Amino acid sequence: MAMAEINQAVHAGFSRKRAFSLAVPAAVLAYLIYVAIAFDLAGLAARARWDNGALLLQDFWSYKTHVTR
Amino acid sequence: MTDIAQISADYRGIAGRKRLYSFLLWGIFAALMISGLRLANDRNAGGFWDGLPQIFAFPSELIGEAIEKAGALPGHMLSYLPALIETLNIAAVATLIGVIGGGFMALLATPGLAPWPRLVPLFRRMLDIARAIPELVIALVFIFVLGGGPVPATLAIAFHAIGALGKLFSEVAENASPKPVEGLESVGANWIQRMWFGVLQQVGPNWISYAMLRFEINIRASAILGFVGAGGIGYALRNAISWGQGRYDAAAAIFILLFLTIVTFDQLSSMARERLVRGNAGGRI
Repeated sequence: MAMAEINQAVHAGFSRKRAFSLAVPAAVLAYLIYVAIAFDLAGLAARARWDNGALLLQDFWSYKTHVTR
Repeated sequence: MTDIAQISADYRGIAGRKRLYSFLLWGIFAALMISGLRLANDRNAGGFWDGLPQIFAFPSELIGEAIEKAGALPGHMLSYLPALIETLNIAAVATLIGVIGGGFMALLATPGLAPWPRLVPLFRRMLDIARAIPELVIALVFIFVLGGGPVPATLAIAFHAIGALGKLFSEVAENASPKPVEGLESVGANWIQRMWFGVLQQVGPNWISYAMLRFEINIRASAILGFVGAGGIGYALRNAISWGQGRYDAAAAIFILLFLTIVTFDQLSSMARERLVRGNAGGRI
């Protein structure tokens, strides 16, 4: 009888831990999805100007006039 | 007897010379300092002493206007709540990325735990680079590429957080006991299993406490990054301040919001850290 009771407590602890270890990644994933929508990631990918960044990083090793009047 | 007299005379001589040297050094230091400050003062527009009383001109103007329009403050605070939430989101996502990336980098950069011990210096230097580049510079590059908004700020802060957290995490992991790792290795666990079942349990409380400390720092950093065009409450604050007179009540409302947020999260995380590391409640100041 005592063993069965201890067993039950142990199993309850296991299932609680299992639920917890699933809930935390799920919560993080849900939060990331919410942020992706709030930050408008899809629209941002369309608006990204990689040529601009390449131009800026080029200045680390080369100097060239890109714009003249 | 003469020995003692000799020793004390020598000692006095040496002590006197030491005093003279330190006096001379202080004199040179003071002369350099004064001449440098005078030069800087001469080349400045406006003098140091003339401008000194004006330090409090801006704060007093801001506070005066805020008190004058105190009735509008709650409305302003409510209208800036979405910007505040964006700032908090920036900080939270950056901390998440920083914890995951920093954790991986830390385990790769810890002697004794690393899967490739020869590459530990390489990963350490990568973490150094991530810490060395200022957030503002990374944010400006990303803003140039992606345009203004919260994502450049998130990426910039996350990059910096990986470097900072990676170093702190790896220092914690160095102190972890190797016994569970060796036990797991002896029964054939691979590297990921060894880290997951042997190391993370030991370093977990300390890692979480460092992550929460980083979250506080990231809230402040994301508020500052708003000034260069990344979104959030810093952007709203810059706009309110650049509008100048007549909009200082909005700036004051943002200052109050930021102050309350930072105090709240400082208290929350110090409470949680106290509970994690020492196992008792409390920790508020």
